[in-house]
Amino acid sequence: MERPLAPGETLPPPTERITILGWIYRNLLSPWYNAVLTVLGLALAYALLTPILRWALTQAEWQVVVVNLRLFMVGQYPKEALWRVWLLLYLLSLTAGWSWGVLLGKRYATAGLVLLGAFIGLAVLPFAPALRLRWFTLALTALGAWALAYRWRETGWARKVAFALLLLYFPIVIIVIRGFAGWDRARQLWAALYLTGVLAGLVVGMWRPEQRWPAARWGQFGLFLVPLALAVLPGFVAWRFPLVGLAAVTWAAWLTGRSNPTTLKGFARVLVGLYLPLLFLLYQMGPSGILTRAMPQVGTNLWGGLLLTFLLTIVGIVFSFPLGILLALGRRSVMPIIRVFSILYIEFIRGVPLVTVLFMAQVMLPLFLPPGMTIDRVLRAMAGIVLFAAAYMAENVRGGLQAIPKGQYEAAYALGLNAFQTMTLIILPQALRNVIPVIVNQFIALFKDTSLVAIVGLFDLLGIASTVLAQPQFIGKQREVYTFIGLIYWIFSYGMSYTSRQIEKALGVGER
Amino acid sequence: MLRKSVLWLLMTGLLAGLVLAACQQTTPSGEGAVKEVVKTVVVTVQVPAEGGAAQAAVPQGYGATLKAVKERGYLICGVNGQLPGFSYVDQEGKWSGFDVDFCRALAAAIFGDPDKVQYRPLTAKERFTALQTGEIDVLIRNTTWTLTRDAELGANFVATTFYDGQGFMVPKDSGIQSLKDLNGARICVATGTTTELNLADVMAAEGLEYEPVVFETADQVFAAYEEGTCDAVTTDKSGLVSRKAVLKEPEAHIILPETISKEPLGPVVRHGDDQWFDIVQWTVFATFAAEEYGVTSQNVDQVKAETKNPEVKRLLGVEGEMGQKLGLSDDWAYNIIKLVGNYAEIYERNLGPGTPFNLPRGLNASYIDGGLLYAPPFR
Repeated sequence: MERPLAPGETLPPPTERITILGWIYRNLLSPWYNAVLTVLGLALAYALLTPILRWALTQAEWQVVVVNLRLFMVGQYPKEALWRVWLLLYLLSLTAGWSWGVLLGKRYATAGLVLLGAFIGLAVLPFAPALRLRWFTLALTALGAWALAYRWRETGWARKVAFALLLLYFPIVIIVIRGFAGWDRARQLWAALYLTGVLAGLVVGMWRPEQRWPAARWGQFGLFLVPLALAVLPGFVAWRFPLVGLAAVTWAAWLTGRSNPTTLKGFARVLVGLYLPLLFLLYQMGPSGILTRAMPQVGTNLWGGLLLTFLLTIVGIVFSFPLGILLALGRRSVMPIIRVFSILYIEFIRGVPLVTVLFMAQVMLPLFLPPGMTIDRVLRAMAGIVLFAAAYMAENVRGGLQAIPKGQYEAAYALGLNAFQTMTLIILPQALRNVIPVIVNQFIALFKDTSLVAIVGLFDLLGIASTVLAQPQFIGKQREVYTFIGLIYWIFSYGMSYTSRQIEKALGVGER
Repeated sequence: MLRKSVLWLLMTGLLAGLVLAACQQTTPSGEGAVKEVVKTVVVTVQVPAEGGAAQAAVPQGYGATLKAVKERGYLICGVNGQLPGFSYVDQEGKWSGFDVDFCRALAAAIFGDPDKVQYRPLTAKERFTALQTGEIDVLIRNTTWTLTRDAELGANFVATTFYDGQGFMVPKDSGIQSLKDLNGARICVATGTTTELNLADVMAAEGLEYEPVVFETADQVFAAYEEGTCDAVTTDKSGLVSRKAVLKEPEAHIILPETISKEPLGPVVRHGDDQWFDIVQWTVFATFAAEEYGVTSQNVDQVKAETKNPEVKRLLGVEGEMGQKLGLSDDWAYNIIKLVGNYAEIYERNLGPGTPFNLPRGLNASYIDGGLLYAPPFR
């Protein structure tokens, strides 16, 4: 500023300088009525917050939460099996850290640090020392996995490991939480047969033996014709259904292998390599196998608390998403039967409250089942939630599909893509990207809606809260308990919405 | 890219299949299931739908339930799960409560092990369906014995384990001493329950004016009462007592002496299996009789060795082979008393002076103490 301007020189635009006082003046006080509103707002906040804080800090008796913490987290899940939940948490840390390192690298470092900080913060809180150590090692695991993955992020295998971890995590959760009931020999044998069928079908299909030996052209059909033929024989009546299933699975694997020989090569190689270990594991799932002894079955009646809430949510999301996409595509299909079925299904479910669906599943369904056949209650609730969420998911996806201009389809056809390729490569990626906010919105709603299972007698987070409130020494502690579980719901719902905003930003939704 | 997605699809499908297979392992194996279906078809054809097709589908008949329970290795007991003092999950994740103890007594009678029970928390709406469909073996869920339920719902009430009745609580300084003083009062009540209907009935019968203030849940009802929204609050007396204990000033409230309804609560079994009915009924009677003869979980071994009373000898399985007549072992009642306790012990443990409820025995005392608990002779 001190230097006089040279002739013809123009001043650069003034840089904005924001001081705290300036910011306050501009945003809170600038026209006089804003100042009034600010004062009113502050007064309101003070009037609302002080009683709440005073209650939370001085009057509330949090003992009910402290002594029942395990119930809130895992319900009645047996104490001696709790290590499985911890194992899954460590695996989650590993998965999250590793895939973050590979896929995101140093991006969103702040969010990552906040998460880490939260865990370390938990480790500082006055929990039992063993518990604090676990929180700390959980954070350490995630950090270590991230560092290693970041180092090897350029290598192909690190990516593959990340994808495998992400994909396998959900099935592993279900298997580990549930444990092994100890299959009898017959069941193990069938499982082994199915595994063999899939592998044989895949390998033979990819290999195309008829190119080398013309005689194999029809011979390979023996793979699934033999089980089919056996199913027809009178001596095998009892095994008819499993045999037909075996033939179908083998046939599907054969077709898949035949149509994508090159891409499936790596997958097939992994599967062949895993064949013997898988058989070994299957053998150990017997009544006295290692797996059964290490992780005996934990009945779903013992699943509860936040664990059950999470399981219901994850199952709901994982299964309703593909189902919803199929229904959305079905609704736009040119085939009338599929279209009418999809419309009927979607509109029927949309016309019914979730509570009703859950009641139907818990109360009415048993009346229609054959005697002696009972479907697990948790499974029934899961099915109800999935079927319900799928209809809404379908409508969300349909919205995305309708926003795709016709030109995209025409361009895809012009490039020679078939209908399947057009949908999976061109249309769906764009359609889904457009509806991310709506989909996440629905996932958050789903997470909270799972609390409705408390009404049908399952002990999810809300259900366990009501039984905790029935403990004689804690009658009348509704405020503490509901505040606590409300906070838990808020943390996870907010976490989901924050994540979705980051995904939106990364994908540039709303910027084009 | 397409290939890759197909691959992932295939893999997820495989895994989903595995998970589903794992989830199904509790159902009988393929061939058994087929046979089972065939059998049912025959059974359903033989039994014309009596009282709705729903009940015909459940395997029934003398001895079927006990056989199923023994084969399964544990009892499935339908409970409330959210009722203080009656059934709830304690801090250790264990079930406890008055109703729960009767489930445990039944398991002790059958297996000699009170822990062989799987509890099924049920809502009021689904409890009878769960019983009809065979999802539970016995319903012990603070269920009031009424004619309609006994006759129409395919359910049989076996005995009364707890006599409850609706009452009123008022602030002490209100000057209200009896039902008559409630004329013109605002009364807090939970909506949609028999409580609300009983209130209307009794006020109409007495010719009293009142203004009902209705809420959805018991929590809301008592919160409103404590804030002074209404002059009195009404619900079952056991509920009043337990709620009174946790009011800010329990001493400032009184419960009126009148009981305006009969609420006999007890276990319920399905129609059609009289042996099971007998087992559940005599399990309850065994706890009554043990109290009457002064047999407790503490002294049962001593009594068994020393007693000269033939009735007690038959109760404890020293003579008479009473258990075999029920299809159980002869030490069935001994197991109940030893492992769970007599009625007085169960009551004291869950509702007595050592608990926040401190509920007087009232009608729930043995007949020798002026109550209604009376067991037929063990002979």
